[in-house]
Amino acid sequence: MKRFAFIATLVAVVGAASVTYAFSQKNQKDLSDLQLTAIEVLSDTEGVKEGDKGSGLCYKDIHTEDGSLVLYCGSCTYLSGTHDTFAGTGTCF
Amino acid sequence: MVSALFIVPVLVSCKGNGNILSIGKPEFVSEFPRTGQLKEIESFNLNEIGLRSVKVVDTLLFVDKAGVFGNIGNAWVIYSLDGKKEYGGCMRTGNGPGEFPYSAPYVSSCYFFNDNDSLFVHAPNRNKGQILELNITRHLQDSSQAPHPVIETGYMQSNSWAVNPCGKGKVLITQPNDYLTGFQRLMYENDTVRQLAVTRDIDKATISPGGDVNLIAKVVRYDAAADMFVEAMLYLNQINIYSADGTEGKTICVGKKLDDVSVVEKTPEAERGRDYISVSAWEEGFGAIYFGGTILEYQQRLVNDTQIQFFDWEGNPKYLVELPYQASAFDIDFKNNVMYVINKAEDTLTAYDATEIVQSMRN
Repeated sequence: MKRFAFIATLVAVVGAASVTYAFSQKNQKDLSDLQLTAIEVLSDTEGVKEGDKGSGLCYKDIHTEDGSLVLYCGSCTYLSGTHDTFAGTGTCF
Repeated sequence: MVSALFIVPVLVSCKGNGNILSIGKPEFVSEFPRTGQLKEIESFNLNEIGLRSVKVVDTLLFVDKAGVFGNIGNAWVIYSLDGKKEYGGCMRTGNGPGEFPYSAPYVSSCYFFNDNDSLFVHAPNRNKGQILELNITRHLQDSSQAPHPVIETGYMQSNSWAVNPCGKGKVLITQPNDYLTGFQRLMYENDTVRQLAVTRDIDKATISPGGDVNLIAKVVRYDAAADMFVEAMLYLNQINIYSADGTEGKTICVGKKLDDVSVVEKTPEAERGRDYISVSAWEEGFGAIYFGGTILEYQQRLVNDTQIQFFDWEGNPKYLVELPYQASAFDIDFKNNVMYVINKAEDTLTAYDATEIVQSMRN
Protein backbone atom coordinates (compact mmCIF):
# COMPACT_ATOMS: atom_id res chain seq x y z
CA MET A 1 0.00 0.00 0.00
CA LYS A 2 2.83 2.35 0.96
CA ARG A 3 4.67 1.48 -2.21
CA PHE A 4 1.57 2.18 -4.28
CA ALA A 5 1.11 5.57 -2.57
CA PHE A 6 4.77 6.44 -3.22
CA ILE A 7 4.54 5.51 -6.90
CA ALA A 8 1.25 7.38 -7.29
CA THR A 9 2.77 10.49 -5.71
CA LEU A 10 5.87 10.24 -7.90
CA VAL A 11 3.80 9.86 -11.07
CA ALA A 12 1.63 12.84 -10.07
CA VAL A 13 4.67 15.03 -9.46
CA VAL A 14 6.47 14.19 -12.67
CA GLY A 15 3.20 14.43 -14.57
CA ALA A 16 2.69 17.96 -13.32
CA ALA A 17 6.26 18.82 -14.20
CA SER A 18 5.77 17.47 -17.71
CA VAL A 19 2.72 19.66 -18.18
CA THR A 20 4.72 22.65 -16.98
CA TYR A 21 7.50 21.81 -19.44
CA ALA A 22 4.98 21.51 -22.28
CA PHE A 23 3.55 24.95 -21.46
CA SER A 24 7.01 26.51 -21.32
CA GLN A 25 7.81 25.15 -24.75
CA LYS A 26 4.56 26.63 -26.10
CA ASN A 27 5.37 30.03 -24.56
CA GLN A 28 8.84 29.90 -26.05
CA LYS A 29 7.35 29.38 -29.49
CA ASP A 30 4.96 32.30 -28.99
CA LEU A 31 7.85 34.49 -27.81
CA SER A 32 9.90 33.46 -30.79
CA ASP A 33 7.31 34.95 -33.14
CA LEU A 34 7.51 38.24 -31.22
CA GLN A 35 11.27 38.07 -31.17
CA LEU A 36 11.38 37.62 -34.92
CA THR A 37 9.16 40.65 -35.37
CA ALA A 38 11.36 42.66 -33.05
CA ILE A 39 14.47 41.69 -34.99
CA GLU A 40 12.97 42.87 -38.26
CA VAL A 41 12.06 46.18 -36.69
CA LEU A 42 15.34 46.66 -34.84
CA SER A 43 17.37 46.18 -37.97
CA ASP A 44 15.87 49.42 -39.27
CA THR A 45 17.31 51.55 -36.45
CA GLU A 46 20.63 53.27 -37.04
CA GLY A 47 21.87 52.82 -33.51
CA VAL A 48 20.75 52.76 -29.94
CA LYS A 49 21.57 55.28 -27.27
CA GLU A 50 19.62 57.50 -24.95
CA GLY A 51 17.27 59.70 -26.89
CA ASP A 52 17.27 57.63 -30.05
CA LYS A 53 13.98 56.84 -31.69
CA GLY A 54 13.21 53.17 -31.44
CA SER A 55 10.70 50.78 -32.85
CA GLY A 56 9.16 47.59 -31.61
CA LEU A 57 8.02 46.67 -28.12
CA CYS A 58 7.76 49.72 -25.88
CA TYR A 59 6.64 50.36 -22.31
CA LYS A 60 4.14 52.86 -20.96
CA ASP A 61 5.36 53.09 -17.37
CA ILE A 62 9.06 53.61 -16.75
CA HIS A 63 11.31 54.89 -14.01
CA THR A 64 14.94 55.83 -13.72
CA GLU A 65 17.47 53.04 -13.25
CA ASP A 66 21.21 53.14 -13.69
CA GLY A 67 22.75 50.89 -16.32
CA SER A 68 19.74 50.17 -18.52
CA LEU A 69 17.83 51.77 -21.38
CA VAL A 70 14.15 51.33 -22.07
CA LEU A 71 11.96 52.18 -25.06
CA TYR A 72 9.27 54.52 -23.77
CA CYS A 73 5.94 54.42 -25.61
CA GLY A 74 5.17 58.05 -24.85
CA SER A 75 7.95 59.32 -27.06
CA CYS A 76 9.17 56.16 -28.79
CA THR A 77 12.67 57.04 -27.62
CA TYR A 78 15.16 55.11 -25.55
CA LEU A 79 15.48 56.58 -22.06
CA SER A 80 17.81 55.73 -19.22
CA GLY A 81 15.72 53.53 -16.98
CA THR A 82 13.58 50.45 -16.79
CA HIS A 83 9.93 49.53 -17.11
CA ASP A 84 7.60 48.60 -14.29
CA THR A 85 6.88 44.91 -14.04
CA PHE A 86 3.24 45.44 -14.82
CA ALA A 87 3.76 48.28 -17.25
CA GLY A 88 1.44 48.39 -20.20
CA THR A 89 3.17 47.76 -23.46
CA GLY A 90 2.73 49.02 -26.95
CA THR A 91 4.50 49.13 -30.24
CA CYS A 92 6.54 51.95 -31.68
CA PHE A 93 6.69 52.08 -35.45
CA MET B 1 11.76 3.22 -16.67
CA VAL B 2 8.37 4.89 -17.18
CA SER B 3 9.09 7.28 -14.31
CA ALA B 4 12.43 8.15 -15.85
CA LEU B 5 10.71 9.16 -19.08
CA PHE B 6 8.65 11.64 -17.08
CA ILE B 7 11.61 12.87 -15.07
CA VAL B 8 13.76 13.71 -18.11
CA PRO B 9 11.51 16.56 -19.34
CA VAL B 10 11.62 18.04 -15.85
CA LEU B 11 15.40 18.09 -15.84
CA VAL B 12 15.61 19.47 -19.38
CA SER B 13 13.20 22.32 -18.66
CA CYS B 14 15.27 23.46 -15.65
CA LYS B 15 18.70 23.13 -17.23
CA GLY B 16 20.33 26.05 -19.00
CA ASN B 17 22.72 25.85 -21.88
CA GLY B 18 25.72 27.09 -19.93
CA ASN B 19 25.39 30.71 -21.03
CA ILE B 20 27.35 32.38 -18.24
CA LEU B 21 29.61 35.40 -18.17
CA SER B 22 32.91 35.12 -16.43
CA ILE B 23 36.32 36.71 -16.62
CA GLY B 24 38.42 33.62 -16.16
CA LYS B 25 37.48 31.30 -13.36
CA PRO B 26 35.00 33.07 -11.09
CA GLU B 27 35.70 33.60 -7.44
CA PHE B 28 32.89 32.56 -5.14
CA VAL B 29 32.36 34.37 -1.87
CA SER B 30 30.50 32.65 0.92
CA GLU B 31 30.95 35.13 3.73
CA PHE B 32 32.35 38.51 4.69
CA PRO B 33 34.99 38.82 7.41
CA ARG B 34 33.30 41.77 9.11
CA THR B 35 29.81 43.08 9.46
CA GLY B 36 28.43 45.83 11.63
CA GLN B 37 25.52 48.03 12.52
CA LEU B 38 25.49 51.48 11.02
CA LYS B 39 25.25 54.51 13.27
CA GLU B 40 23.41 57.43 11.74
CA ILE B 41 24.94 60.91 11.95
CA GLU B 42 21.97 62.81 13.29
CA SER B 43 23.35 66.25 12.54
CA PHE B 44 23.30 65.61 8.79
CA ASN B 45 20.09 66.88 7.27
CA LEU B 46 19.84 67.57 3.57
CA ASN B 47 16.56 68.03 1.73
CA GLU B 48 16.44 67.45 -1.98
CA ILE B 49 13.89 65.54 -4.03
CA GLY B 50 14.42 63.18 -6.92
CA LEU B 51 17.62 61.77 -5.39
CA ARG B 52 19.39 59.52 -7.84
CA SER B 53 23.09 59.46 -7.03
CA VAL B 54 25.69 60.93 -4.68
CA LYS B 55 29.44 61.47 -4.88
CA VAL B 56 32.09 62.74 -2.50
CA VAL B 57 34.87 64.68 -4.23
CA ASP B 58 37.49 66.27 -2.00
CA THR B 59 35.51 68.50 0.40
CA LEU B 60 32.37 68.58 -1.73
CA LEU B 61 29.23 66.46 -1.71
CA PHE B 62 27.64 66.18 -5.14
CA VAL B 63 23.96 65.36 -4.90
CA ASP B 64 22.34 64.15 -8.12
CA LYS B 65 18.62 64.87 -8.08
CA ALA B 66 17.77 63.83 -11.61
CA GLY B 67 15.67 60.92 -10.41
CA VAL B 68 12.64 62.18 -12.25
CA PHE B 69 12.29 62.57 -15.97
CA GLY B 70 11.88 66.01 -17.43
CA ASN B 71 13.45 69.43 -17.11
CA ILE B 72 14.52 69.90 -13.52
CA GLY B 73 17.02 72.74 -13.77
CA ASN B 74 20.37 71.80 -12.27
CA ALA B 75 20.61 68.02 -12.05
CA TRP B 76 23.50 68.18 -9.60
CA VAL B 77 23.56 70.28 -6.45
CA ILE B 78 26.88 70.77 -4.66
CA TYR B 79 26.98 70.86 -0.86
CA SER B 80 29.50 70.92 1.92
CA LEU B 81 30.15 67.47 3.36
CA ASP B 82 28.01 68.18 6.41
CA GLY B 83 25.12 69.06 4.14
CA LYS B 84 24.70 72.46 5.75
CA LYS B 85 25.94 74.71 2.96
CA GLU B 86 24.81 74.67 -0.65
CA TYR B 87 27.44 76.02 -3.02
CA GLY B 88 25.56 75.85 -6.29
CA GLY B 89 24.43 73.50 -9.02
CA CYS B 90 25.24 72.38 -12.54
CA MET B 91 24.30 70.01 -15.39
CA ARG B 92 21.08 71.16 -16.95
CA THR B 93 18.68 69.39 -19.27
CA GLY B 94 17.82 71.22 -22.44
CA ASN B 95 18.88 71.74 -26.03
CA GLY B 96 21.35 74.55 -25.50
CA PRO B 97 25.15 74.29 -25.57
CA GLY B 98 26.44 72.23 -22.69
CA GLU B 99 22.97 70.94 -21.86
CA PHE B 100 21.69 67.40 -21.86
CA PRO B 101 18.73 66.71 -24.15
CA TYR B 102 17.29 63.91 -22.01
CA SER B 103 19.03 63.50 -18.71
CA ALA B 104 22.30 64.49 -17.14
CA PRO B 105 24.63 61.60 -16.42
CA TYR B 106 24.74 60.02 -12.99
CA VAL B 107 27.24 62.08 -11.00
CA SER B 108 28.87 58.88 -9.74
CA SER B 109 29.60 57.78 -13.32
CA CYS B 110 31.61 60.90 -14.16
CA TYR B 111 35.35 61.51 -13.98
CA PHE B 112 36.58 64.16 -11.55
CA PHE B 113 40.14 65.48 -11.50
CA ASN B 114 42.18 68.40 -10.26
CA ASP B 115 44.25 70.59 -12.53
CA ASN B 116 45.91 73.93 -11.73
CA ASP B 117 44.10 74.28 -8.40
CA SER B 118 40.70 73.72 -10.00
CA LEU B 119 38.37 70.78 -9.81
CA PHE B 120 37.11 69.55 -13.17
CA VAL B 121 34.58 66.97 -14.24
CA HIS B 122 34.16 65.03 -17.46
CA ALA B 123 30.53 64.13 -18.01
CA PRO B 124 29.20 62.08 -20.94
CA ASN B 125 26.48 63.54 -23.11
CA ARG B 126 25.54 60.27 -24.75
CA ASN B 127 22.88 61.60 -27.02
CA LYS B 128 25.31 63.99 -28.69
CA GLY B 129 28.29 61.65 -28.56
CA GLN B 130 30.25 64.08 -26.40
CA ILE B 131 32.27 64.24 -23.25
CA LEU B 132 31.63 67.61 -21.64
CA GLU B 133 34.13 69.28 -19.35
CA LEU B 134 33.22 71.70 -16.59
CA ASN B 135 35.56 73.66 -14.31
CA ILE B 136 33.62 73.13 -11.09
CA THR B 137 35.77 75.53 -9.08
CA ARG B 138 35.28 78.43 -11.49
CA HIS B 139 31.62 77.60 -11.93
CA LEU B 140 30.98 77.79 -8.20
CA GLN B 141 32.85 81.09 -7.98
CA ASP B 142 31.01 83.02 -10.64
CA SER B 143 28.56 80.68 -12.41
CA SER B 144 30.18 81.74 -15.64
CA GLN B 145 31.08 78.29 -16.76
CA ALA B 146 29.05 75.98 -18.93
CA PRO B 147 30.06 72.45 -19.79
CA HIS B 148 31.81 72.33 -23.16
CA PRO B 149 32.74 69.35 -25.31
CA VAL B 150 36.29 68.05 -25.09
CA ILE B 151 35.51 64.85 -26.98
CA GLU B 152 33.00 64.41 -29.76
CA THR B 153 32.95 61.11 -31.53
CA GLY B 154 30.74 59.00 -33.70
CA TYR B 155 31.68 55.99 -31.59
CA MET B 156 29.47 57.34 -28.83
CA GLN B 157 26.96 58.88 -31.15
CA SER B 158 25.87 55.62 -32.71
CA ASN B 159 25.46 52.89 -30.13
CA SER B 160 26.20 53.57 -26.50
CA TRP B 161 24.36 51.88 -23.69
CA ALA B 162 26.72 53.30 -21.07
CA VAL B 163 29.64 55.71 -21.23
CA ASN B 164 32.25 56.05 -18.47
CA PRO B 165 34.93 58.73 -18.87
CA CYS B 166 38.12 57.42 -17.28
CA GLY B 167 40.85 59.98 -17.79
CA LYS B 168 41.56 62.88 -20.03
CA GLY B 169 40.60 61.75 -23.49
CA LYS B 170 39.70 58.22 -22.43
CA VAL B 171 36.25 56.73 -22.28
CA LEU B 172 34.88 53.24 -21.69
CA ILE B 173 31.92 52.69 -23.98
CA THR B 174 29.43 49.86 -23.41
CA GLN B 175 28.23 49.32 -26.92
CA PRO B 176 25.33 47.02 -27.83
CA ASN B 177 25.59 44.91 -30.96
CA ASP B 178 23.34 45.61 -33.93
CA TYR B 179 20.69 43.12 -32.82
CA LEU B 180 20.65 44.30 -29.20
CA THR B 181 21.58 40.85 -27.96
CA GLY B 182 24.88 41.64 -26.29
CA PHE B 183 27.46 44.25 -25.34
CA GLN B 184 31.07 45.02 -26.13
CA ARG B 185 33.30 46.93 -23.75
CA LEU B 186 35.33 49.33 -25.86
CA MET B 187 38.05 51.71 -24.71
CA TYR B 188 37.97 54.96 -26.68
CA GLU B 189 41.18 56.99 -26.91
CA ASN B 190 42.48 59.35 -29.58
CA ASP B 191 39.44 58.72 -31.76
CA THR B 192 40.04 55.01 -31.92
CA VAL B 193 38.39 52.22 -30.00
CA ARG B 194 39.75 48.88 -28.91
CA GLN B 195 38.08 45.99 -27.27
CA LEU B 196 39.56 45.31 -23.84
CA ALA B 197 41.43 42.00 -23.98
CA VAL B 198 40.37 40.86 -20.52
CA THR B 199 36.66 41.29 -21.24
CA ARG B 200 36.61 39.61 -24.65
CA ASP B 201 35.03 36.48 -23.22
CA ILE B 202 32.22 38.21 -21.36
CA ASP B 203 31.63 40.36 -24.44
CA LYS B 204 30.60 37.16 -26.21
CA ALA B 205 27.64 36.61 -23.89
CA THR B 206 24.35 37.16 -25.66
CA ILE B 207 20.67 36.85 -25.00
CA SER B 208 18.12 35.33 -27.34
CA PRO B 209 17.20 37.50 -30.34
CA GLY B 210 14.39 39.88 -29.53
CA GLY B 211 14.89 39.56 -25.78
CA ASP B 212 15.72 42.38 -23.38
CA VAL B 213 19.43 43.06 -23.50
CA ASN B 214 19.13 44.85 -20.16
CA LEU B 215 19.24 41.33 -18.71
CA ILE B 216 23.02 41.46 -19.09
CA ALA B 217 23.35 45.17 -18.38
CA LYS B 218 25.42 46.52 -15.52
CA VAL B 219 26.24 49.61 -13.50
CA VAL B 220 29.85 50.55 -14.28
CA ARG B 221 32.13 52.71 -12.16
CA TYR B 222 35.78 53.69 -12.47
CA ASP B 223 38.40 54.73 -9.95
CA ALA B 224 41.32 56.72 -11.29
CA ALA B 225 43.74 56.02 -8.44
CA ALA B 226 43.33 52.27 -8.82
CA ASP B 227 42.78 52.60 -12.59
CA MET B 228 40.13 49.92 -12.30
CA PHE B 229 36.58 49.39 -13.47
CA VAL B 230 33.90 47.59 -11.53
CA GLU B 231 30.62 46.51 -13.02
CA ALA B 232 27.74 45.19 -10.93
CA MET B 233 25.25 43.20 -12.97
CA LEU B 234 21.62 44.25 -12.60
CA TYR B 235 20.00 40.84 -13.13
CA LEU B 236 22.86 38.40 -12.63
CA ASN B 237 24.53 37.50 -9.35
CA GLN B 238 27.99 38.70 -10.19
CA ILE B 239 30.45 41.56 -10.18
CA ASN B 240 33.17 41.95 -12.80
CA ILE B 241 36.33 43.95 -12.16
CA TYR B 242 39.05 44.77 -14.67
CA SER B 243 41.95 47.11 -15.16
CA ALA B 244 41.60 50.04 -17.54
CA ASP B 245 44.48 48.73 -19.63
CA GLY B 246 42.52 45.53 -20.13
CA THR B 247 45.23 43.21 -18.89
CA GLU B 248 43.70 41.81 -15.73
CA GLY B 249 40.33 41.19 -14.21
CA LYS B 250 38.07 38.72 -12.50
CA THR B 251 34.47 37.84 -11.82
CA ILE B 252 33.18 37.66 -8.27
CA CYS B 253 30.04 35.83 -7.24
CA VAL B 254 28.58 36.05 -3.75
CA GLY B 255 27.03 32.62 -3.83
CA LYS B 256 27.71 29.11 -5.03
CA LYS B 257 27.32 29.39 -8.76
CA LEU B 258 26.90 32.00 -11.47
CA ASP B 259 23.49 32.64 -12.93
CA ASP B 260 22.98 31.07 -16.35
CA VAL B 261 21.62 33.71 -18.73
CA SER B 262 19.57 31.14 -20.63
CA VAL B 263 17.86 30.02 -17.40
CA VAL B 264 17.15 33.62 -16.42
CA GLU B 265 15.65 34.26 -19.85
CA LYS B 266 13.23 31.36 -19.41
CA THR B 267 12.13 32.68 -16.02
CA PRO B 268 9.02 34.88 -16.04
CA GLU B 269 10.21 38.46 -15.78
CA ALA B 270 8.59 39.22 -12.43
CA GLU B 271 10.30 36.17 -10.91
CA ARG B 272 13.80 36.96 -12.16
CA GLY B 273 16.39 38.04 -9.68
CA ARG B 274 17.05 41.72 -9.18
CA ASP B 275 20.65 41.51 -8.08
CA TYR B 276 22.82 44.62 -7.94
CA ILE B 277 21.41 48.13 -7.75
CA SER B 278 24.50 50.31 -7.82
CA VAL B 279 28.23 50.28 -7.15
CA SER B 280 30.82 52.80 -5.97
CA ALA B 281 34.57 52.67 -6.47
CA TRP B 282 37.56 54.10 -4.63
CA GLU B 283 41.30 53.58 -4.46
CA GLU B 284 40.83 51.13 -1.61
CA GLY B 285 38.26 49.00 -3.42
CA PHE B 286 34.56 49.09 -4.18
CA GLY B 287 31.17 48.53 -2.67
CA ALA B 288 28.03 47.19 -4.35
CA ILE B 289 24.40 47.51 -3.28
CA TYR B 290 22.78 44.07 -3.51
CA PHE B 291 19.06 43.30 -3.32
CA GLY B 292 18.81 39.61 -4.22
CA GLY B 293 15.04 39.22 -4.29
CA THR B 294 12.87 39.11 -7.40
CA ILE B 295 12.15 41.99 -9.74
CA LEU B 296 8.56 42.01 -8.50
CA GLU B 297 9.66 42.19 -4.87
CA TYR B 298 12.00 45.03 -5.73
CA GLN B 299 9.66 47.15 -7.81
CA GLN B 300 6.59 46.67 -5.63
CA ARG B 301 8.69 47.07 -2.47
CA LEU B 302 7.48 43.76 -1.09
CA VAL B 303 11.00 43.27 0.31
CA ASN B 304 12.96 46.23 1.56
CA ASP B 305 16.28 44.84 2.75
CA THR B 306 19.48 45.54 0.87
CA GLN B 307 23.14 44.87 1.51
CA ILE B 308 26.24 46.81 0.67
CA GLN B 309 29.05 44.35 -0.09
CA PHE B 310 32.58 45.74 0.14
CA PHE B 311 35.62 44.26 -1.61
CA ASP B 312 39.19 45.21 -2.36
CA TRP B 313 40.53 45.24 -5.90
CA GLU B 314 41.84 41.70 -5.50
CA GLY B 315 38.24 40.63 -5.10
CA ASN B 316 38.61 39.85 -1.40
CA PRO B 317 35.44 40.47 0.62
CA LYS B 318 36.08 43.05 3.32
CA TYR B 319 32.86 44.18 4.98
CA LEU B 320 29.11 43.70 4.79
CA VAL B 321 26.44 46.23 5.67
CA GLU B 322 22.77 45.31 6.01
CA LEU B 323 20.18 48.04 5.53
CA PRO B 324 16.46 47.84 6.36
CA TYR B 325 15.48 49.73 3.24
CA GLN B 326 16.14 49.68 -0.50
CA ALA B 327 19.35 51.65 -0.86
CA SER B 328 19.75 52.93 -4.39
CA ALA B 329 23.09 54.77 -4.33
CA PHE B 330 25.88 55.60 -1.91
CA ASP B 331 29.40 56.93 -1.53
CA ILE B 332 32.02 57.11 1.20
CA ASP B 333 34.14 60.01 2.43
CA PHE B 334 37.33 58.14 3.34
CA LYS B 335 38.91 61.18 5.04
CA ASN B 336 36.08 61.82 7.46
CA ASN B 337 34.75 58.25 7.69
CA VAL B 338 31.23 59.05 6.53
CA MET B 339 29.00 56.99 4.27
CA TYR B 340 26.11 58.68 2.44
CA VAL B 341 23.23 56.44 1.37
CA ILE B 342 20.14 57.22 -0.71
CA ASN B 343 16.84 55.57 0.21
CA LYS B 344 14.96 55.77 -3.06
CA ALA B 345 11.51 54.97 -1.67
CA GLU B 346 11.73 57.69 0.97
CA ASP B 347 13.79 60.02 -1.27
CA THR B 348 16.20 60.64 1.56
CA LEU B 349 19.96 60.92 1.91
CA THR B 350 21.36 59.66 5.20
CA ALA B 351 24.89 59.97 6.56
CA TYR B 352 26.40 57.16 8.66
CA ASP B 353 29.59 56.70 10.61
CA ALA B 354 31.78 54.59 8.33
CA THR B 355 34.82 54.22 10.59
CA GLU B 356 34.71 50.42 10.67
CA ILE B 357 34.11 50.18 6.94
CA VAL B 358 37.06 52.45 6.15
CA GLN B 359 39.31 50.54 8.55
CA SER B 360 38.36 47.25 6.94
CA MET B 361 38.92 48.60 3.44
CA ARG B 362 42.38 49.85 4.39
CA ASN B 363 43.56 46.66 6.10
